[in-house]
Amino acid sequence: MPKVQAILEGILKKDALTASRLLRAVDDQDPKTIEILEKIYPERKPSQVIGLTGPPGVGKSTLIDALVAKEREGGACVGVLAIDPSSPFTGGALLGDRIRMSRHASDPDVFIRSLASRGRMGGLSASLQDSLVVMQAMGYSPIFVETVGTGQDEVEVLRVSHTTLVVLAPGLGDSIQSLKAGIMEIADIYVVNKADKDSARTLQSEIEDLIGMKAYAPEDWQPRVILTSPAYDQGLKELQEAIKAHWTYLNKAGRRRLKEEQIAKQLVIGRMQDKILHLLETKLNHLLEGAWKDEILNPYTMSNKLFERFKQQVVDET
Amino acid sequence: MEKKVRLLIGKVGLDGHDRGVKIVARALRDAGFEVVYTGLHQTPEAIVNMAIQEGVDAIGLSILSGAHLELFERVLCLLKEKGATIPVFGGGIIPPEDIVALKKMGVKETFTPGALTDQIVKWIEDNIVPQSL
Repeated sequence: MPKVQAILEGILKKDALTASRLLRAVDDQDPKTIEILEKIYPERKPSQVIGLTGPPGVGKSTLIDALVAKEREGGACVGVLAIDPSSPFTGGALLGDRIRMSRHASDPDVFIRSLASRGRMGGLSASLQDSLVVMQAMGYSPIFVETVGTGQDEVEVLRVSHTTLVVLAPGLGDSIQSLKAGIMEIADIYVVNKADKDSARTLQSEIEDLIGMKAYAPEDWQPRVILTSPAYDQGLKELQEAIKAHWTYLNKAGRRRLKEEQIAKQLVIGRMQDKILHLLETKLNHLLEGAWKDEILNPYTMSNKLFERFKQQVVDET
Repeated sequence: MEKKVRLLIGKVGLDGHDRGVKIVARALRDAGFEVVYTGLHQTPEAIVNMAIQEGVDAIGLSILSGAHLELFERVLCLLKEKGATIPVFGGGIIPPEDIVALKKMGVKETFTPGALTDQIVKWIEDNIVPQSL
């Protein structure tokens, strides 16, 4: 198919129009993209994927804007994938992350793409990993991923990034919040943003306590806590250095290969999950349709029975 | 496959009035579209670059500064230069004779004060097709 070849060449030449169309088709989950993605995958350059997560309004987009500026000083070509939520009612979305990054809008070496979560849970969009593959093949490095503003439990970003940043800001809760499970466990680097505010130091020491409670082997990466305030150009250089230090750490002792194996596995699981869930939903709906005709059956008995039946079918088929 | 209409909604030039454009962006979101909102004070170059990177199906610009003829012309010209075929529509305080000029220039539709958000939604539904590979 000549079109596939043209798209592949366009991507490798970093052609924005081609990339944009492909990313769109990927986001729409056009089945035609599978063949293209398969061909693009081996062409990826080794670029660090940096995931930023954290509650809404802590300054993730502003921080990315500042980090992109720092990377541009060094001449890097930078990619950004920023996710905002889709409406559960209309499916519409207002994607506003790039408002904070508008100083890079005319820079051809910065590619920013906004994605709507389109119903996917976990803070990402279903198309995120495929979009990353496209950007890596185009040679953007590093690539920043900004999750939907998250609560406590959206940890998916960890599974698709080399380096995970949890961005927090003072004033969001007391020290108990930092003891809870979930996003407070996933960071390679904790960023206390809006550090010009008074209580930033308190939050910093709470997080440091949290890190101190865990025993790290000397060769292990020990999470760092960095105070930043993009408005005052505070802590950005330090943050950039910490991100680079984590990349250096990953590039030793085969750690990066291991990480990338996990990322690739996640891509397989993601694609399979979507397909299997869809199949399952259709099948389950079909099974339930007849069963509930006369009366509402006990859902516990029903689900047990259905699961046994399903298991039997899977076992039979394999 | 899940096809969605994606739009870039923004403000170009020296114009700080964003109440209207925010209402429009919100209404388009509620209509089920994906709306990339650019914020204030964008240059035509930035608008065109963003529209290309974001893979949108149309660009909607709000201009209340009176510079609509110059700004729309520049946006259309840059799109052509870059080989992007993205339809452009807009809104603002635009005299009737300028609307004629804008349409001649290639602006697909204009909405002036008093236009209902439903009208804008309807126009998009009827005229904007989600792109595909």
